[in-house]
Amino acid sequence: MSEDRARILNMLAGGKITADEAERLLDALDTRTPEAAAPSAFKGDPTPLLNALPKFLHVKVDGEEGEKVDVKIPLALVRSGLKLTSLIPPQAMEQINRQMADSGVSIDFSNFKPEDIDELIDALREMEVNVDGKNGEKVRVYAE
Amino acid sequence: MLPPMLLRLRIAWPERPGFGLWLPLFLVWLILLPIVVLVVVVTILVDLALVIAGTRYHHYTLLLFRCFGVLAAVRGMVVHIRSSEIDVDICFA
Repeated sequence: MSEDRARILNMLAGGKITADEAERLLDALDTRTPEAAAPSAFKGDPTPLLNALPKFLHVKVDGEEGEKVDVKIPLALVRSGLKLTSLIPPQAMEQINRQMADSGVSIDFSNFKPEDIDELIDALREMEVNVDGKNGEKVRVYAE
Repeated sequence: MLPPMLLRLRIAWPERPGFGLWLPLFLVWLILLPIVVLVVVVTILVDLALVIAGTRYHHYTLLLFRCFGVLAAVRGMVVHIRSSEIDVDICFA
């Protein structure tokens, strides 16, 4: 859902606009051509925006006895690794999938498409995992 | 995209002095370059043979280049391990 569409729906939910007004606004959004909308999205120099995007995946583990592990993985490595899976020979891929299934991970890497990988990487940028154990151990995974 | 040129390794213990190493990975790549060129030529020939034979999978050269891509993407990876017995820092630059 686009940001504009969500804003209109929020305004409707908040009672700021009527259902008719929301419908008209949504229609206006639908009729707006992508060509007309695109220039406003990329006005000016995009470099600061690109620099603000997370580039690393952090995995931080604090053990119960004070031991710490901090791994900074470039997201480019995750992307390259996932894209590599689409080129693995079918026979090898079958074996990998079988081994993964035996280990309890039911991911079929042969179904990965390049566009899915880009989507997955984009989703990773917003992901944050926090795990707190019973004995004080902590695991944090986030993109920065 | 260039592969990592340096590997910085630092190991320290609480009770004795540690050490740090700067490993010049670019020298390793230089040494491996002739072998890589040879492997690329072989994979191109294999792919050509597979195309002629009509095999559905004939992407070994591309697979090899993707492997180089993964290697190059390792640049920037950092690992820190701290415990009561040992501290280890590994950094690909």
